[in-house]
Amino acid sequence: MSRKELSIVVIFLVGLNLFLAYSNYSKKTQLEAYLVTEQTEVLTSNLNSHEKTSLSTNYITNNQIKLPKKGPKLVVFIDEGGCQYCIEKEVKLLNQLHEIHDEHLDVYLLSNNYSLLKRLYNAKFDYKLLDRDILVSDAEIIIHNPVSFLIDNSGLIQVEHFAEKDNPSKSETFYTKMESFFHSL
Amino acid sequence: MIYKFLIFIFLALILGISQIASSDYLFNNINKATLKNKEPKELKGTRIFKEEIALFDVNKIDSLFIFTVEQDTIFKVFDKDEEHLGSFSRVGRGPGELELVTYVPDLRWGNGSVELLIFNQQTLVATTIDLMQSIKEEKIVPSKETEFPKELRGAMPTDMYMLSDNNFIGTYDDRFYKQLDNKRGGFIYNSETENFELFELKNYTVVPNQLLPSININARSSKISPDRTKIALAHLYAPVLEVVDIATKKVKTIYHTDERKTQYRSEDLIDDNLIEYYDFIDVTNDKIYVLYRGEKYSEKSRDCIIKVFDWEGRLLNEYSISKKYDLSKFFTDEKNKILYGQSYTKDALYKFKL
Repeated sequence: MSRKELSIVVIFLVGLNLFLAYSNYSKKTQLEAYLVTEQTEVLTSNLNSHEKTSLSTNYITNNQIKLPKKGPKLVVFIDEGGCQYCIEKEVKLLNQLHEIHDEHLDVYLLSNNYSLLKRLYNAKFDYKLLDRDILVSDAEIIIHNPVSFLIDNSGLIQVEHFAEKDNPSKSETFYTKMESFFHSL
Repeated sequence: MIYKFLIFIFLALILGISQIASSDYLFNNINKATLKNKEPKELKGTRIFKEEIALFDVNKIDSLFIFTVEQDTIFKVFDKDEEHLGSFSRVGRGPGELELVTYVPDLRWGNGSVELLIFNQQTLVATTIDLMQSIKEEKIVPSKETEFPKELRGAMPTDMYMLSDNNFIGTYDDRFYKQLDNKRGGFIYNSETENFELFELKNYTVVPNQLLPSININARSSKISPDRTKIALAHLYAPVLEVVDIATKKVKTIYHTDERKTQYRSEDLIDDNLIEYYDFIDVTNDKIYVLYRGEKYSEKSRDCIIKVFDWEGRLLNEYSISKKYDLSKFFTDEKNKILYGQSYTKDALYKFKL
């Protein structure tokens, strides 16, 4: 191989190496951009995830849901197909609330399997079964992850809480507030 | 001086390339030598059930074909002449409906009907479906529902079999739920006593340890023998079979390679940089059939080889199937010497004469 040919081969190989190094660099840049976007989305979702006092006037409309005779009540709906981590977290918090304020708590499991919450999630409270395709309020929400409504004796939803998979502190804050609220009654 | 420098650079670059090339060469040769390839017979297939689409899972028991389809009606039943016998269950959240289309890992004759097994991983409930009654009522009619304990949270819905009305055998992966041993393993569960026994399966690890790669590296498919005395498991990322004797719960590991690799790199798995071996399995009382890839994962259509072993893992026969069928899974009808192959990409079922 002449010196000229060898030079061409070396230049080609050096070029190939530079091209591959550039490809790696551009992939790394794309990845970093993706991570920044993802973090921004998580931050935004945290900002938007505070409990909200229901601004619309939605009522519990399903007559299978027992309305309180006096005073407010927390009604909780857990669907068997909801995120398992959310159910696990929610059941732990409900166990604590049940120990102190059971008279203000009603839990409904959307399933045909009664043992589910006790068997898989160590639920200490009692609960009733509902069909999974049920609509519980006039807001016509399809329940997937656990949902809690603080209702009054007319069935008006005063506060609503939707459990979120990536935001366990949201549930912790909500149940701490509920515990304090029922304690003050 | 410049000439010597150029030669040095040239050799360095070539050395880098040859390192990669030689390791690939060695790897391929190990595969060929250990799997003792002889020339496989090529199988030609014909498409059957041409009108059926959105195929998710197909099973056959005697002359009945049971299709699980990703449509509004989930289960469709046909006879061998492709005559539609009935359909049942819809996608939905109501009674007799399923929220998701699901696999049927096992079916058998029992209690005067054909029984299909499905497993709900959310509720850990195994439902044995009465096929005849379900066709009649056009919805899922369970002949039995069995609740599993929370320790078996990692039970795999694709690898579960009925040993009797109250006994189930299957595999689990506990890495996600961490209720047992944080491993892939096997279980036998008795719903009457509510007790379960575990048996150990071979486990691979990844570095650095990451959850999904560590679950995926342990991927394997399984099938129970028709006489329900043994189960064979075929590993995806190593040419390895495991045979479980159900009576003794003893597991025999059969290596079709001299390599005993137990640790892989996470990034190789994430980048689809690993050779796939046994992608699917079916068994008879005498034979184990596996769908062999022998190449890295690709989204393109792929050829495959159906390897036939005895239960000791000795190679008996090989059949090659062209990428024009792009098989994903298969099952065999040994009595009539037919192999039925399903392709997800072609959304088709093919019949091959063995």
